[in-house]
Amino acid sequence: MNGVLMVGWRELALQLRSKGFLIGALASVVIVVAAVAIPTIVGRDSTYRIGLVGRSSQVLAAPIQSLADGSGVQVHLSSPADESAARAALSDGDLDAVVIDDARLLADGPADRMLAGLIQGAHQAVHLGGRLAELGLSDGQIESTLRVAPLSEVSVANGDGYEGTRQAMVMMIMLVLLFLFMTAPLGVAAGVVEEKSSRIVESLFIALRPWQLLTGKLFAFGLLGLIQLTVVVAAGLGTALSVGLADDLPPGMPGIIGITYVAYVFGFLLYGAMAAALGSLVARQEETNSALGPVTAAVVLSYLAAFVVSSQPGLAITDVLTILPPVSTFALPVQIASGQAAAWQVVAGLALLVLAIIAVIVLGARIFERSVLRTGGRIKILEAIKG
Amino acid sequence: MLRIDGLHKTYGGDKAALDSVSFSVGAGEIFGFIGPNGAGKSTTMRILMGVLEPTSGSITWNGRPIDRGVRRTFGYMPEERGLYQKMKVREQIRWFGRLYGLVAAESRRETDALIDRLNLGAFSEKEVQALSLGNQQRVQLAVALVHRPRLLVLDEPFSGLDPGGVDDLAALLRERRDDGVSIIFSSHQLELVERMIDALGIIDQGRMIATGTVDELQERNGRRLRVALRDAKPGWTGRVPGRVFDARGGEYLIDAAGSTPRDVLVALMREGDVEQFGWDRPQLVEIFREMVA
Repeated sequence: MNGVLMVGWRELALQLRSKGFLIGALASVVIVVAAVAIPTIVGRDSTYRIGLVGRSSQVLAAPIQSLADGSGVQVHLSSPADESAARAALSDGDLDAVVIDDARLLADGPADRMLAGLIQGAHQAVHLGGRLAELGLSDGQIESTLRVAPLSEVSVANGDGYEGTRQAMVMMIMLVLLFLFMTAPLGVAAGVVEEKSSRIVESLFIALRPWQLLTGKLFAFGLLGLIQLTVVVAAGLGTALSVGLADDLPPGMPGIIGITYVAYVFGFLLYGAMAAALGSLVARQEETNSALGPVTAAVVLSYLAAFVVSSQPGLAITDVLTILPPVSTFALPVQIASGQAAAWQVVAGLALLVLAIIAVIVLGARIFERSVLRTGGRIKILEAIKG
Repeated sequence: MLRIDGLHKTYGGDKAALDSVSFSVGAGEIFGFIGPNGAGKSTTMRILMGVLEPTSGSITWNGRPIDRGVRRTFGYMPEERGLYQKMKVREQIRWFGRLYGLVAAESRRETDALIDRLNLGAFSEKEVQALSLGNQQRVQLAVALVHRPRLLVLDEPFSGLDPGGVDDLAALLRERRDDGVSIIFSSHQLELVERMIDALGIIDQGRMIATGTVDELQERNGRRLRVALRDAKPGWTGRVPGRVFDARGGEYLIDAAGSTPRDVLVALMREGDVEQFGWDRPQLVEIFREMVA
């Protein structure tokens, strides 16, 4: 079997069955499902409890129910014995609104606007129907008179009306990329340090060239990150569809998901190659985190810069940051997901990112090859580059 | 045959870590590599295995320079043991077998045989980190042997093993030697080296100060007579030719350079009853102490 695949297979097999990976994947699923489902479920708690007091109020029951069905709202109708019982139920929060003798609408404070609209609409429809009957119209005429086409709704806001959803998705993409860019390169570096500090490399290099070891590691941890990303995307989409959010998703979802994958792959290659090179400089496991300082700084600063980009669209600095590596690893997918990226930015951003990745991999491979077999203390980066 | 010729290694202009190291190891031969700490044994082995680059000198295997393809047919046990701690024993040996070029079925077969041969059966499904250091060393050895290498390079393979482990390893190495495998190993356990090897090299401060078979070295360093006298007259050691050393247990060593054994024997017979007289064959440890002192 090819050396690269041997290295990659070993890492994958070991990581996939490790508790850490399974717990991480499970935790990310729980977080995503909760983030998508909870606001929807909480926001959908729209069962209005309405009390109708007095015989004359009972005529409202059927039109209220009909209007509620038409609006996709749940109502629960009851008939309190008298006004004082109804007031007590309102105060206790057992009812949301009460109609007294089809004359007064009671609520605990200002009535919910949706609820008030329902009840007022029902009240007007009943009384208008009564008056039309008094004017001698037949039931059929009354029904056709009352059937008025609703106003068509037109938004005059900039955008397509999915701004809120896009904003939420941007936040989620940034968080997922932040998580993956912090963990996947750490896995690469930890593997490199393990092999260097324990001198496993001496047994490996009988059969492997350094670039094969480096490539195998990037392949394995890159794939692990892709699996995690897929788990998160599947959990997010699955939850959104199962709680009835399909209509709320903005158009172009495949493109948004696609660019997130592309951003992950490119970003991982950039940060992963940096992590492998920096990991090869240290001699002990406990030095791994401090050696990875530059990678962590690059990831966090890019994340913060992408925040600025997404909150300040239209500025010249925003245009530059969007395409500038390593900020573009976050900013590019964010701008695309929020519908802000121009075509030239996508092309230029990806081109610059590819150039940066090539530079980092060439330099990183050089550092890795010159450092991974050297024993003794921590090696300075310039020393490793010079050889 | 492995031939190392004029190997030289310096680090940044300092004193040479290796200075013209040369030796060869034939097929089916065990070569013991001995020397004090820091003498250059591990450096030589690491250059041989491609871990370090020599400053100059050449290494050939069957007359050809060694590249990665050739090196993959070598087995190596580094000075500092390196295994994946979270990998299971059987899985790890198999994986290295595949890495060193075996197909899956071969690797499985060799792994099973080595696990059996090195008494690792009880631990084969455990992670390496759960094993004692001695058992980890057996796993390391299995990793070096799994692809049935034609040359074995073992840096201190016996250190850390209990007596049973030493016997298992020694027997295994003899088997491989009998199969035609060339073996180089370093050790400080000189009695063990003497028992196992066909040839040896003594290295000190980067220079090979002796190579040859044990017999040759004994011959070269053994021009001393071992004698025992009963009822010897007081002060006899001053009256026989050469320098006399007390070898304890009533025996004496006589370095009789310049005199013949006959002169010494005649002189001794004047001093008492000669109970023992013959050439001394020094132990390896004595030769080593004398040469490295």
